[in-house]
Amino acid sequence: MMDLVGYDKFLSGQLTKHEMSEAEIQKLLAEVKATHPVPQ
Amino acid sequence: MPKTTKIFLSEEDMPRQWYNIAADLPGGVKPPLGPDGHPISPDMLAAVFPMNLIEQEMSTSRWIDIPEEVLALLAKWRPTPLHRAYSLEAALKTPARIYYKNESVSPAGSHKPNTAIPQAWYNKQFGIKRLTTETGAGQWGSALSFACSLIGLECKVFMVRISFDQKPFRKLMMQTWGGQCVASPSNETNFGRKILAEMPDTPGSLGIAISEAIEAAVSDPTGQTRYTLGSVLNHVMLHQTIIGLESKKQLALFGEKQPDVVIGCAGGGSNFAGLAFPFAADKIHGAKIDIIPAEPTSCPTLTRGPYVYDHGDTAKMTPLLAMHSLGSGFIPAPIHAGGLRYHGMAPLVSRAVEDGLMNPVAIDQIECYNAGILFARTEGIIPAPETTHAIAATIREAEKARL
Repeated sequence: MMDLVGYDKFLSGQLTKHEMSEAEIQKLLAEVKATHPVPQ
Repeated sequence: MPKTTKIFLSEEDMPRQWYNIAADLPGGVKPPLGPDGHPISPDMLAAVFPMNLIEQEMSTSRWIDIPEEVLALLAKWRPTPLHRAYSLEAALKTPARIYYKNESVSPAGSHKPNTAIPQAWYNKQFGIKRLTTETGAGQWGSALSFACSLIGLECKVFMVRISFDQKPFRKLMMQTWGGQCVASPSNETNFGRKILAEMPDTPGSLGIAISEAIEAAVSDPTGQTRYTLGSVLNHVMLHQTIIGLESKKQLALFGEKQPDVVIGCAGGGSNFAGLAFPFAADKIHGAKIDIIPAEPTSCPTLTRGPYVYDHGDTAKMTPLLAMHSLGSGFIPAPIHAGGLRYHGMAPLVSRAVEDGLMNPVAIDQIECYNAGILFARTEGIIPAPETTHAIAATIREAEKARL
């Protein structure tokens, strides 16, 4: 019962995909790769 | 004779040991690093976790005994049934045989009590009186409140704000079990106040809530409060393997030798690892099994996040964990699958992906809810938003089987 809000939004056509654009992803990845060490 | 739709195991058939994949991962386990860049020692975690759980966290023993008292509590609902999804198969017109492990029969409604119970028990054994934690969609907070009520501990839950607003009955569940739940970021911690000052309208994130819960634990002057985590950590993955270990026995009773594909939704990794790790052990030893963690496109940690050292929380209070990460400051979009809104992924799952044992996929919210609706209209159960990611991935595989 707790999680039916999402189904309500979906069934009423109000749900959005919420995808990140490729540009947003690339910006995010660049920041992470520049500031975080890689496990060896 | 009607077809067998589900298999139950007796309580005597419950696994007596958890499986620890750290013993078998080809790439080995990368230890967490401290601020100086060196591996942490157990005592560096002692203010956060009890030593008995720290030992499990760092263990590379393949099998770890489940305490009898923990088994007795898990037996309130375990073993859980394994179902054959005949109606879904018919709707998809697929030759694939689809099975699903139903963890929703637990009192909290998910797999989370599988680790809430042992974590509360080990803390009680160590003399701890109070536990703090974070929760996204509320399943973990509910499960921990449930476990603490059985075992006799106080429980304080920091719930991600957007989920706190979207799912008001979750707080009531926690309260019914004696837990206390506040929306995160909150005014109860220094970090929460800092975030609210900088971003008063933030939807919150699991990273922020983790920071608040850790701060609340380590700042208790009595020293009798510890922090628990519902996913990500090695000991949590360990406790959840009871899911996959039961599933293996049940599949055999269905007459299946081994699965071709194992799928689970992945947020922090515990639900997925619980099912998948016992099958990954077979894959490490040569079995041909496709293992697929399914995540949201709005939080594509495994499919797009690099494998780096990163903090488990936004305030950077945790050690650095070797994991796929979108950055500890990443705040995922407010999708309804709150349990999958985490910037990182369990180090053991991340390592398994790096070792080529798993093939992650990312699926958008619309496709997931379409899958959830189909599942509800065929199998009857209305799946949680998180679970719809696994169902959507399953439908994709079932459709491939038609070709």
